[in-house]
Amino acid sequence: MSPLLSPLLSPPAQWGLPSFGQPGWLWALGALAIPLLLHLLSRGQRHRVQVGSVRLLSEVASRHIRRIHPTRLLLLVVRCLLLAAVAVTLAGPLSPATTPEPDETWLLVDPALLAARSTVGTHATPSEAVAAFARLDQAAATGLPIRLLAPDLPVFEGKTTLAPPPIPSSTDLWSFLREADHLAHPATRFEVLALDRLSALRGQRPALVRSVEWQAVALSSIPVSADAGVAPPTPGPSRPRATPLHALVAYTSERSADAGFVIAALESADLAREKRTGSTLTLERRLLPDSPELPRRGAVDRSAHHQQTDLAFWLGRAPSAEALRVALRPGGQLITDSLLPYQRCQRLATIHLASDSPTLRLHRCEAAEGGTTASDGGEFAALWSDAHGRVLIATTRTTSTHPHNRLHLHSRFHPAWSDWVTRDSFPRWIAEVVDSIDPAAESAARVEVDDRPAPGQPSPRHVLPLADPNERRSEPIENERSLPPLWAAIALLLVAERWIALR
Amino acid sequence: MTPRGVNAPAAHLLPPATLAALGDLRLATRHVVEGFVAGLHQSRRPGAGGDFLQYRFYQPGDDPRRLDWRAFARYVRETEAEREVPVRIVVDATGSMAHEDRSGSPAIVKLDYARYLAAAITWLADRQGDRVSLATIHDGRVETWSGRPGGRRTVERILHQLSTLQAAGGWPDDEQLGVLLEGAGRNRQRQLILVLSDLHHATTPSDDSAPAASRRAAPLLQTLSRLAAQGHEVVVLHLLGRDELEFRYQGELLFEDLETGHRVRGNADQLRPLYLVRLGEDLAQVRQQVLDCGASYQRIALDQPLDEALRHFLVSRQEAR
Repeated sequence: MSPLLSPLLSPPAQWGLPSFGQPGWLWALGALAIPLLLHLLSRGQRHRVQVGSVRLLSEVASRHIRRIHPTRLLLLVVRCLLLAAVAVTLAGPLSPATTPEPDETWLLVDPALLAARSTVGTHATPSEAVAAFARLDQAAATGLPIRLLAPDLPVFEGKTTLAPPPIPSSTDLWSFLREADHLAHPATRFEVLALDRLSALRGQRPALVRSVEWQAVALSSIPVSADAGVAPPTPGPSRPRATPLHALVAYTSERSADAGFVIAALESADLAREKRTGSTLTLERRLLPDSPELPRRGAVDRSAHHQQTDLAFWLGRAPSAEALRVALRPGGQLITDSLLPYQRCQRLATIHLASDSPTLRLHRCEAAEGGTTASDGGEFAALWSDAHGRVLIATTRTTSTHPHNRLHLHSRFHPAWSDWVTRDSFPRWIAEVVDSIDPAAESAARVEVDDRPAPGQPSPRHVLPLADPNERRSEPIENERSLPPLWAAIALLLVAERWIALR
Repeated sequence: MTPRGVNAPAAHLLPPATLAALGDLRLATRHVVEGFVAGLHQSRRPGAGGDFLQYRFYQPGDDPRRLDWRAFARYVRETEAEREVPVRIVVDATGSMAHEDRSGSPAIVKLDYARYLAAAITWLADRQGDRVSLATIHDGRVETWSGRPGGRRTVERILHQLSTLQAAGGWPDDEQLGVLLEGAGRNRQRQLILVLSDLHHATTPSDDSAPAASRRAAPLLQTLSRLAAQGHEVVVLHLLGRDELEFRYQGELLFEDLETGHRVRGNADQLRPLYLVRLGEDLAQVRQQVLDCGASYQRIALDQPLDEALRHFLVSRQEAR
């Protein structure tokens, strides 16, 4: 954003100016110079004509100019207004839906926090959680609306000690915050109460046009009862706790942001799984050295792993076989992602392996980066593809001396590469992956295969969309709200311009 | 100079712009006069002194050839003797006469048109034996040249003065215009006074801001009135360009007054309707002012062929008599 336009596009709260969805179009306001220049040039560059006498002309002009000159100025103003209206319309002004008092505060609450409040056990509650819950009770007592960070930002009107309505838990808090940011008056302050899933986003929080007061409550600080969870509580017998699975997130320092999203999603998935299966995850973070070479033997300390890892996110250069053997138990699940931008992974070929199963399609990545596929000799199968058929996640089962399952994301676990990590489908998918490798799980989640037909074939069913097609997007809705009057103004200005010009 | 029903063949109607392109006043004037004379020869020319006046008794000493034998051989057919009519040509050479009419192709300057018309009249008058004199008005003063009838040098001098005349300055005051009165009143012979002018800044009162009742008439109109009162025949030939009459300008223009230097901005297309209405009113007013002075008025457009303009002038003058 240009520093010249930044005050306009992100105005101070006291200005009360609208923001814009496509602020780049505001540069089109420079087109206002065109009629102004034409007007000035037409005044300056008149052709000179010598006549015998200007006596009659001066009489006529003095009468005519009084009538014409204001018309010219009016025409100039109308033309400028017309261009400005077109530019502003293309920029997509987002007018606040409501006009609250400038000192209004929106209390935005993570539904998971309310759910955790409803399942608090009898243990002593830490002060961090007490403060958050006290704020909730105070808001309820003073009548301050409690808006849930959920689709449509519903206002929670029940008792804060009871469970919230069955709103699916989501890690997609960013989009909800952005939506609230667009809806609220620029002068409105935000107060966000959320589980410490947001702590993983620290430093990665969205840039909003207002000041936001964050209050994150660590998951561990809430003493949950046996049926505590992010999902809405459902009655049922508590399950015996099984052997915890060990999850490792290994990352280089430059990938710490990616690791933050993965860990947040793992914790969220663990909460959801815990209620269902009773098993928990032991989560280990490990910072890999920033060596440009592949991790050598000993990079992962054997002594530090008294248990082998069931699930490993390897966010860095491709792990060596030795590192994997040390870190991952046979049959464990390794998840890697692309070091390269997504756009670099384009040379993909579609092959049909299962002739008897037309719904199964496999994809081979012919340009696998870092030799991660060629050395393992595994065969990639596309699990998820995007709407264009491009592979987002592929899987393989290695046949080398250290067999393990491997999932490879052809993108990075970062919103800059894929919005997926900020959507609720991401922890859900992790929960399914964990279920698939957890022998204690009663219903091992089965990762469904992308069975979308080739282009032109009818689609038998829709599988695992990365983005909910019905997901509400705030910006288009805001644009639609503000566009009709602007287009009507443009039409009126156009009619006025023609009328004045041809009069 | 008493043609009747003259109509020149179209071949002789040379456009003024073409004459101007000749660049030679003598040659151009000859073209005009020859075209004019060719038209005259097509009609019956009664000849000087041919008009019947009265009968009277024969007296000793009368020429027997003048006896009308059909009237009992006692009467002498007395005809109107041909009388000399001095012609005075007044050419307006003020700044506004430098106006160039670009409506035709090529363009013609208003003073050039006046120059050729004055030269043609000079030639015709001299050919008929009339005394011709010239008065020019420019730079706020009046200059006159006259000569003897039939004198070759008189025509030469007038043509030379016409060819070297330059448009400049404005109209003279009353005192300067008095020169015209002096020249006309030197002998009491009736004169034909032709004024070739665009009449810009000539018919408007000098003090526009004064009340209408106390406003004095323009010096030129006063002079014309006095000349007509002295019994002279005064004819005003009002020269106007086609672009002045029809306002053929287009677009945003800066109009500059050739005489005063005043400037007026305006869009010609937007000014045209109002201008034409105002021009019509103004021309009617000017014509009436001239007629009120006892003078004749004829408007000539610059795209009108010179010999045609000359012929129309003579025909209208004859009809007026």
